[in-house]
Amino acid sequence: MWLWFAKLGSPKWFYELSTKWLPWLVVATVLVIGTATVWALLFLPPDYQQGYTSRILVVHVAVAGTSLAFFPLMAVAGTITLVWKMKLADMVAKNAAALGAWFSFITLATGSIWGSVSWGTWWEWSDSRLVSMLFQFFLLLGVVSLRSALEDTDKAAKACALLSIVGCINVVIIKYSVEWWNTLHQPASPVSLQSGSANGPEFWIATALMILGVYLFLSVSLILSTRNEILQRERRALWVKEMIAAER
Amino acid sequence: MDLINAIQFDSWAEFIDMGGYAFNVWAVYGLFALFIAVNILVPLRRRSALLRDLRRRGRIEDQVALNSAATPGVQTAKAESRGQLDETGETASQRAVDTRRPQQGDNS
Repeated sequence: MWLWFAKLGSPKWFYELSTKWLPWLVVATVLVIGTATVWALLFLPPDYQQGYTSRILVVHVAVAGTSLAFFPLMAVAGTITLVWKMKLADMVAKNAAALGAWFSFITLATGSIWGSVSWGTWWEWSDSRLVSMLFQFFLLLGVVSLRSALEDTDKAAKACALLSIVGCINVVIIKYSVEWWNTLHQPASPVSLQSGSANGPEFWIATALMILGVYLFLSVSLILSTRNEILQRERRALWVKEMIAAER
Repeated sequence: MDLINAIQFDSWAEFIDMGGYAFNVWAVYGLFALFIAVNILVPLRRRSALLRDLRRRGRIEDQVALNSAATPGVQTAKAESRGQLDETGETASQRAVDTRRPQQGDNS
């Protein structure tokens, strides 16, 4: 168990393993997102109230739900950094912050585009879900700029780890905001087995597939940027030099 | 065929129109595609820049090692005088110093 843990923390081990797995992950991502997109755009029947704008929700729900994973992910990586000083964990955390900011932005943008039709407004400052998601976007930009502001890599890693752990509070607020404060944003419709109902199988299976696809995409993007981080930080390591020499 | 019948549209024009919400639906799917493309292509571009730099660094190190074996100090001075920053944010002189002390860094 501990040997496995120590191995997992080795950038070299991660780099080599990801070289093997990345092609399969890319194929799975393309297949799943492709299927979900075709399903949503061609086959999803119009909602009786929203018409075809319900198709926006397949993307919006998938990206929004996935965006909540970033702070917990960074908090776990941050804890590993603080306790075991594992280099790989901090490399993942660093790249997750920037990607998470992207996810939050796309959540806000797609939600806005949907809301402009269904709610008749692009933005509502009094809505708790909207504002807490905007806060997550700024918080993630904060983590990114905190890291670039601190020159010492170790200090930056520790500061970002702490901020990531504290930032998890906001994830809970986002999650339950629609129940605690009943403002504009509606809670998730209950999953229904009845075809043609608000969240019937046509809709939720397409959405579930899209959520899987978005998670796959997240892992592909995060692995790509983590591999870059490894090459950059480990450039003086013998295995990197040997690998580059072997390519020439 | 069942699958063809399940398609919600009879024509391309109808598909593009999205029941009157063409702008909203296509804006979201366009944004989604852009979001995926950017977050895959940017890391890929950075990777090729990094690899290019690491290869160049390797070539310089080989040469420094070769030259300093013959005339110690000369190549180091040359590298120092260049002093430009590269992709990894180091000057040529720092790089030359690295050559003499390759580190074992594959455990955490």
